[in-house]
Amino acid sequence: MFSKKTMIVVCVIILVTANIIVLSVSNKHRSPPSSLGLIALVAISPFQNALTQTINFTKNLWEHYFFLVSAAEENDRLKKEMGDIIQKNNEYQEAALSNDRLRSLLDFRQSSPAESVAAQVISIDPSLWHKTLIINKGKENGIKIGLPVITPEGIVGQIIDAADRYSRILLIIDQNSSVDAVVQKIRARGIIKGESSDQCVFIYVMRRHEIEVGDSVITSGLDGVFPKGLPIGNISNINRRSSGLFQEIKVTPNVDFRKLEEVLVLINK
Amino acid sequence: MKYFYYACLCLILALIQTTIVRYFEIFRGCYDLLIVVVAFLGLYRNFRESIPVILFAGLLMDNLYNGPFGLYMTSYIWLYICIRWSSVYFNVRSSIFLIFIVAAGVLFENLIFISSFMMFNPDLLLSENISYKIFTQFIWALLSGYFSIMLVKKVYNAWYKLFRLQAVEQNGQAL
Repeated sequence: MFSKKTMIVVCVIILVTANIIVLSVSNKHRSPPSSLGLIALVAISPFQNALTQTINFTKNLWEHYFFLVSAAEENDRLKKEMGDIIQKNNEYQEAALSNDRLRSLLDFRQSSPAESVAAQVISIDPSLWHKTLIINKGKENGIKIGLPVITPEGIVGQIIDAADRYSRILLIIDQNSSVDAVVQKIRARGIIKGESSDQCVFIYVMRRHEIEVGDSVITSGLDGVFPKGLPIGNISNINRRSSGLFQEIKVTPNVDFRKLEEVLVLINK
Repeated sequence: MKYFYYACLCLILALIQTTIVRYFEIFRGCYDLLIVVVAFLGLYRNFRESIPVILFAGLLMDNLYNGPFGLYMTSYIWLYICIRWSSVYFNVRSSIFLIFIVAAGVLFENLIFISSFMMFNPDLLLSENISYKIFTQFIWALLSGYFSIMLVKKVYNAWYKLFRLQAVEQNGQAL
């Protein structure tokens, strides 16, 4: 009844339509069906973990036993730097004591320090378009979906999937990530959004705020995920347009996501 | 046993690009290595053998990344269809075609990803240097695509011969 060519065209149209419907549904729900979604975390992560441990062991062996040529030179430099840091530390201790005295005068409540779990990064997202990491700690270690992940340099992201022993982190540079933030110096508020590169954009910052390149951006604590005052990054580019309410700002995160190996998950934020 | 080979191959390639690549700065711009498997299947294997492998590879990658579920599977299926279709018009086993097939696959996969974002999330912010990253992947694929396909083919042939030989020996002993 129909020619072979017509049948092929009809099949292709059906396939394309079905494909678009499936993608549309999965895109709307953003995450795979629960049983399928954890396959990677449960089945593949142990291999990734074993491989990461092996690579790290070899790397440590190389760096600590074989590659000692520049160690003496580095030692001298670090000793000099340590002298400067000790001096600065004394100044900070003085400032902290003054701060405590002034706080007690104002009757401020001391916020309890957050409890954290250290985890090792075992794999990265293979896609060019998404920025996630898998770590070797999960529900067994008290990790839940939505918890913030940080390093001493700044915030990393938040937990979006958790299996018993492994979890997935959505990085702040992913296009689906948003973090409520303020410019530390002038307290201008906005949202840090990822754009799947090594930088973030700082959106909804009013044009009237006089922001400068190099200013620090910290978390505002208003998104309910990250505690207040954690460093995010520094402003690297500002485009203050002649019209419109907001300015276009680029932020370079403090954390080098390409070299990230260990992170802290804040359990008790 | 050939499906065991494909499963191991997909798993190893997925592990390389999620775990090993991040330790080597030079490989950061590398493309999705499972495109090589899809290209190999499209060029040298039949439909019945290829489809389960493509579905497995798609499922594996869809689980390892954080985008809409099914996007990798979609790109692999359409890439496979395109390679099969192009074999009607081109001499797909010529060296020139093999040099370009993985690079074309990289562009095709990124095109599907971009189309998906534009269709379902038009307000997403895409970085300005994304075109540079795609170009880097394209160059990597151009330089290594031919050798990767040949390597997959050689290992497949060696694997096939090994297990065929074993099967023949076992049958001989049984007789």
